[in-house]
Amino acid sequence: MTYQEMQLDYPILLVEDRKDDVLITQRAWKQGNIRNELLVVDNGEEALKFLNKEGEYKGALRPILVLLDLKLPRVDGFEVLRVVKRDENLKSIPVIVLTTSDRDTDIEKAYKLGCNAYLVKPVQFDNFITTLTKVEEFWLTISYLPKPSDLQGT
Amino acid sequence: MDIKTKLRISASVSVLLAGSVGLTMMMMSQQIAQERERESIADEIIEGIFGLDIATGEYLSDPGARAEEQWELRYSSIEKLMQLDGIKDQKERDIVRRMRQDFGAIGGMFSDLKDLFGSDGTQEEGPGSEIASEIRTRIHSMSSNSFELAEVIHGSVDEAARRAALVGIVSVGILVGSTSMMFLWTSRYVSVPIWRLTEEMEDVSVGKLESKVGGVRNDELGRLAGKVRYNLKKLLGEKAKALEELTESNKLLKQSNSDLESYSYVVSHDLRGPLRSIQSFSSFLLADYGSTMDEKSIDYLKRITISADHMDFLIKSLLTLSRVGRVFTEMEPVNLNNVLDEIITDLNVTEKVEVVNKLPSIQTQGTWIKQLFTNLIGNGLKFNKSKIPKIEVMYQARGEDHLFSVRDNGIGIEEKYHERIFNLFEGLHAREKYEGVGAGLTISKKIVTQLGGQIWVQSTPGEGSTFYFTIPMSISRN
Repeated sequence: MTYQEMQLDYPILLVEDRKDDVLITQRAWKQGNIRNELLVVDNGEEALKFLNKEGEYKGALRPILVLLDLKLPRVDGFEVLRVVKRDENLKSIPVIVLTTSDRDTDIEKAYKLGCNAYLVKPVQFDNFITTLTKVEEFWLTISYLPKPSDLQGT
Repeated sequence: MDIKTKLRISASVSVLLAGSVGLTMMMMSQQIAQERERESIADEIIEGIFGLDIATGEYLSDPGARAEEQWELRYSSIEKLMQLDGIKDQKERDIVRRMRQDFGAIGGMFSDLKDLFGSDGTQEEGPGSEIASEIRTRIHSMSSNSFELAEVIHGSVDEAARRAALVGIVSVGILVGSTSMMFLWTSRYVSVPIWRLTEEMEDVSVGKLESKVGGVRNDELGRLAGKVRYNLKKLLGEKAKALEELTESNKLLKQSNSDLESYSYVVSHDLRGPLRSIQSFSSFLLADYGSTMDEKSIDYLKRITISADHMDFLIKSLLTLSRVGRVFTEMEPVNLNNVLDEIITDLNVTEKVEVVNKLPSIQTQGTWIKQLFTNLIGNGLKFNKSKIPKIEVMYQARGEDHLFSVRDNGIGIEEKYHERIFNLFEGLHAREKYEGVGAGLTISKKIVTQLGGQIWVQSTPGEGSTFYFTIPMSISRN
């Protein structure tokens, strides 16, 4: 198995509070034939717990990629970005912002906080599938990503 | 006190002064004339006495009726002169009194002498010669007294003349002095304040407002200066207040504009989520259950999807519109010929769009000027039912502006819509007729407005439309 083929075994974490969007993403995931497992948490606090394997997430696999919505209850997407990108253990995980906002200030702020890509959710479902498959193609089959540390050596 | 009152008072004083000076001079000259009169009388008396002396001698040497008559004549003429009035001082009075005594005595003694000599005129020795000698003594005494009188009167003539000269000099001095005073006063209290007020006004024109007409003066000039200053202060105050209000309302306007923009921005984004759900789930239904649905249900679902797509288009337009105001890119030199080439390539309309004359290079915002031309060309082709749709882009310099036009041979726009199509909501209302206008023209207008220009349309329904817009040359140099 090549290095990149192994990347497909790791889950991808979707941080999204809107159930509609979760359903749409899951369907697009299926229709786009994306092989990585899609894990979902519905707020920023849960996302940080997940990444830090706290509480119920003890023993969960660390994701190889995070898809992060910006508008989230409790801890919002920007705050998640800030925490993740300042954390020595977490900062190597690529975080892709996936939002409806194409606001200049949001884009700039997200990149300043260290996001690895900024994507705007298309309204048309077909376009959304295309977006997600391209994400998979670029990030998981073209790019080489760091392996989550807890799996190293196994 | 008012200047008017002061001027009146000083004018009255001057008139009075001049009048009294004139009167005094008149009186003085009259007095001098009177004294001269007396002087000549005194001279006549001297002559008369001299004559009487001679007549006495003639009578003594040849007493006769003729000599006696001569003597009487002389005597009575002196007597008339001796009436002499206008005597002023004691010395003159004493002299005149002595002369009258002598004169009376001479008269008395001459009567005695006549009696002695008798009417035959024979001269006798004795008392006659004594009387005659006495007469002569008296005549001589009177003569010397009359010289003395003449001298006294002469002195008083001189005195009167000297006094008149003195009064004249003093009067001229007073007149000159008072005139000078009036001149100085006018200059100090009238000319100088006026000159200062003028200076003050000149200062106001360069933005200073300070008092140069010193002190609080309760006269016309003081009131004028006060009034002028008060009105100026009021005007300047009003101006400053108006400016302040304008600045404030400008600020509020800007604020509410930016509020509106961020509001429409946020709303647009918040609408996108639900819209995405509608679009996605209706497409899921169609994909998953389309095969088991009847035609009507499928039609309904398709309508939902199409509406969601349209709404997405509208929201995108709204976002662009709010972006024109919010994101205003830097000015840069833009060659519009290149911009048009890019648009023609992007829209793939080489055959349909013709740039009639060479376009200028201007200082502007490349992104938005491209959006503007894209909107106008896009509309021209979209609302076009001609067999061969055609767009002509033209340019000319018009005064201080660049004037551009985009002419199409499309369906045209009825005149009643010529202004409304640029209005966001009106544009949406007119949508039935011009399906798919969206906010394109509203965006175009906003871009042109932001660049300081104007946009308008000329159109004949069925023949086509020409959109015109201007960009000021001066702004493009900024």
